[in-house]
Amino acid sequence: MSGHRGQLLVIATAVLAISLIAALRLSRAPEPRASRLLGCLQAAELIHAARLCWSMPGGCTPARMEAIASALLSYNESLKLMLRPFSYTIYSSLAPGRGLYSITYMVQVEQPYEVRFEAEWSCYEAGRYVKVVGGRELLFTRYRLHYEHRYSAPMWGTITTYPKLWDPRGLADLEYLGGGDWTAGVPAGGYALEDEYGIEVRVGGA
Amino acid sequence: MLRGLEALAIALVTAVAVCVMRLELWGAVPQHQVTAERAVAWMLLASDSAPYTGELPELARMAFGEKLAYVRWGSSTYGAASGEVYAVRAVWLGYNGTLSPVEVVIGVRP
Repeated sequence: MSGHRGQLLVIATAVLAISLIAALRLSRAPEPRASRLLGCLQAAELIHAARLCWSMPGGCTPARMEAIASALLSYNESLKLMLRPFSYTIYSSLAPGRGLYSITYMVQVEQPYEVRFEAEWSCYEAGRYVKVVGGRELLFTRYRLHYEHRYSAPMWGTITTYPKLWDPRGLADLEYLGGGDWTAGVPAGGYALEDEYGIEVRVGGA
Repeated sequence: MLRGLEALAIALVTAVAVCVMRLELWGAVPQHQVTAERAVAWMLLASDSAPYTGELPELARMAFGEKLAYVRWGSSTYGAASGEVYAVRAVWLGYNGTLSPVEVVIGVRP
């Protein structure tokens, strides 16, 4: 009798163990944990690629992005980067007082996810002044400018950074106020600044 | 019959346990490697130019502190592999508008 009870106990334990494991599996988040854990580095590579593309003279074009993506994928095998196949959409929007550059990736895994790079700015005129440059008086426009990058991926949510701005031609008067806010005095009629990654930021103009 | 059921149940539990362990433990990436890859991800987000301007070792030290064993990029090396070290690989594709890929290998102590 005690033997039977022992055997029944084993069967009951087995049923309980299977039920618990099944319940645990069902209660897990549907997204494969392995790819989420391993995806940080891969998502960062995509953000870095997008930032490089937009830093190219004239901005990011499909041909340039194709070359960058090909270069990245060529290292997939040799460095075992474990990059998954991805597609991307290049987008830009320029209007008086604002601008946006972005690349959105769709990573093709069991449950596709999005990685996005965005560089965005907005500015408004805050005054005018005259500056002597090379012995000539030039009319400058002072702008209040906000500039930020946003890097989005499921692994970390959205990271917002405030890259430094500078003027390659050395004419602008730039002052950082903190939190991505700047005052920028630039020659009237529109002017191009750059951020620390080489991405062009157009201030003012039509 | 009960003994047969018992044997079947034991076999089932063993099979389920092996499957779960295979998925959760044996096939899983060690946590310290995941952490190291996240730190390299931070390095990529923080700087496009580090491998080209000589700042990569400093960036790696900021990311890993005393856990950093070595950094290899292009033909340059900082530090040395000694003791238990595992490698995290990444590629910096270029900076400031120029496509110029550089393989980077960072040796990290557990």
